[in-house]
Amino acid sequence: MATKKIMYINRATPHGGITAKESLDVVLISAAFDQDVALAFIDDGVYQLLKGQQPEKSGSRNVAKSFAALGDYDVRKVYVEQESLAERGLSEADLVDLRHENPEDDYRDTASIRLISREKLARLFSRQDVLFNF
Amino acid sequence: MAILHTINQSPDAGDQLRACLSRAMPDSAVILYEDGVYAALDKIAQRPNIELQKLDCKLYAVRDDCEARGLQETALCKKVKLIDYPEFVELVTRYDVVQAWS
Repeated sequence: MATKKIMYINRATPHGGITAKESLDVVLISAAFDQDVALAFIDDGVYQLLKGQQPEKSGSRNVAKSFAALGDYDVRKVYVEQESLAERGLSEADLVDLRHENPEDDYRDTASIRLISREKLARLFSRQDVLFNF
Repeated sequence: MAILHTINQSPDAGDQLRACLSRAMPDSAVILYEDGVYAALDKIAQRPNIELQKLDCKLYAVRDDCEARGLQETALCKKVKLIDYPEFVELVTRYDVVQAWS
């Protein structure tokens, strides 16, 4: 099967519905099929990566914890839009620390989250084969 | 007739909050719960079209919903009073009518 560049664009809040959970399920499935997968978190989607979430307090599942598994599925590109963070008074320090072993750097433990400007991310959208919106 | 307004969506997911804030009266109260609590984040509360500080009625947010979403109390607008669900119910009984924005 040919490898495609697939980007999943996440705009939903983590506990407002099942969108965030469904996105993660699809991401992990496509990663298992050896596709070139990237994630982007924009607008309200950045809330999915906030650390210190205690979803049991409102009876929902901890999506942020499942994100920790992304590295094991070779999902190494997690883009977070800087403007979306800033508009919410958030910074990289407020986000979970996702890690992966980088095959291009002797499998060194490497941060997966990359902050990116709105303009650069918009250009990155145009370089994908497929865009999925959640 | 005092109204209790409730908001359960993020301010960026719809226009519930704008619709509510433009109609809240001094004897009203507004409760932010579920995804509505994101409006209590100081940075969002200060947005020109929100300005929770200028709201001249009582404003509450459900603590468990803030904690579920990883929102620290220190990051919230000072105008917001945190409540639990029993207090939510108590407020519902105290007001004449509930406007649950959707």
